[in-house]
Amino acid sequence: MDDDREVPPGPQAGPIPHGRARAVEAVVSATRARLAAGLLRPAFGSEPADFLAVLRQGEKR
Amino acid sequence: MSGSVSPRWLPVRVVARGIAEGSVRAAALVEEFTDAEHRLRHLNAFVRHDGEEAGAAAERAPEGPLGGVALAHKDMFHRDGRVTTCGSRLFAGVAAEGTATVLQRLDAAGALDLGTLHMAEFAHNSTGHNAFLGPARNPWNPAHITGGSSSGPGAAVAAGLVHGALGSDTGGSIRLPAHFCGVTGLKPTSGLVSRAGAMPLSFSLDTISPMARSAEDVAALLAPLVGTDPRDPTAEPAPGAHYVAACGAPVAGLRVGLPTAFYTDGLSPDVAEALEACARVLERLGVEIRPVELPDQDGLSAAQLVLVASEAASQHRERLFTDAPYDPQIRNRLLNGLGYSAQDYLQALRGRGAALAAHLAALDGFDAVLTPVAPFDAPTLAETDIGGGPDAEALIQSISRFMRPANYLGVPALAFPAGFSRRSLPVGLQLVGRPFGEPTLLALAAAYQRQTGHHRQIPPGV
Repeated sequence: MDDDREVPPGPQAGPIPHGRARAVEAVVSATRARLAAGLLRPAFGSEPADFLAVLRQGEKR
Repeated sequence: MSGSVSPRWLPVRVVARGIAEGSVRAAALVEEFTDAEHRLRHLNAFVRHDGEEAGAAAERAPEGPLGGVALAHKDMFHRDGRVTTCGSRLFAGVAAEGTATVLQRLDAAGALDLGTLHMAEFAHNSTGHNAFLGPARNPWNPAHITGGSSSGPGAAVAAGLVHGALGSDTGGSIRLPAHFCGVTGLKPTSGLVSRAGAMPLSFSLDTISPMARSAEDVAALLAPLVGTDPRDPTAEPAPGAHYVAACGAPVAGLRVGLPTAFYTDGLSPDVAEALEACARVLERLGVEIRPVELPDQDGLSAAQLVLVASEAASQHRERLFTDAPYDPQIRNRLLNGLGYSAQDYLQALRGRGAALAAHLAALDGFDAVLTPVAPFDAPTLAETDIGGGPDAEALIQSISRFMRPANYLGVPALAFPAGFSRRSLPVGLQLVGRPFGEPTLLALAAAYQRQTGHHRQIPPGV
């Protein structure tokens, strides 16, 4: 896996640089709206673990 | 587009058989590939070429189903003691400790490793631009992009610099270069191939698989890769799957859907005509072609974006606010991921099972879906240079629009050459299958390739 030992550790996080924040917000807002419009409303039976169960059962037409 | 008798262009299993029988010398083959790499260095396909080491390995008479087959891989698979750059200046001098499972399995099958191939920095763009390595160039016209992020594998296979290559696909990174460079590439079912020892971009979505000239070659390279792996608990068993044999399986009676929306948006005439012509070839083979109405693909695409952005940002978070030498464009893309909340991420993750169930319900009775890979052939390097302004940004976004749903759903998708555009650039299509339906996709593509010659075409001057 990605070996990051040669890179000195930096701060855990920081502010998104000035001038970049607005661009980030625009991308995020647009994607968030598409996500809200497009995905089925989650219900019991749609937890992350179920994805693998559906995948394993999905081979036969 | 002339033919060639050089063993550089032979099918994988023909080469392996020729080497085993003594009619092809593996060491001479490595020399041919090395000479070709020197001649075609302007394509920038390789990050490092290990022709000398591969030649020495060839002299030891490699045995196995891939004995003497010459491969090289996207520079994100670790080999013990070798530098894996991940396409980034950050790792330009860092030797790996340990070897990726996929490389171990190809070694055990007798394949030769010619070196490491170009890629987008951290596999995080779809064009093949790279500020550190310089851009990879399309063998069909070096002024055009290869597509990415598996840019080197696309260029190297198309230019006959390898028999095949491993790439990775998180949002189209195998299928896009396959389309733009005129080769065959598989995005496998999530979990089919171990990811141990490979660079992560998005742990929910990353997949690894071969790119090669034909479906039969992809099958031969895929066969030794699949199966569980104690080093990767996400690797699934695939009992009973025989990928090479599947390429000869009958396809008459299979049912393939043509989506009625989303994948029909903004197609160039070249792509629309290739799609129509492919459907007619499949029909002549006895495949039943019917329109299919899929659930909203745009929502799936958005969910894929949220997952990859969030997970990639989490992967790089500790370095993003240091002076680590990222390409500024890659750093900006990674910063986008910090904008999503935990709720956004969980909504995208939580919807995955339900979305796949809805997709499979819509596909009831179908074996696969046939779609374009991208709406157009390869744009130029200049058109997709981010310095080109808002037009470039919009163009880049549109490149991978048709790719993301298959990654979000975890289903397999096989991209294959399906013709040429009016400006003589390759046009590909993809067959999207059911989970673990790789044998069906390979059967369909191999049957199509026996009827057509697109995958055998060779770029001028290579």
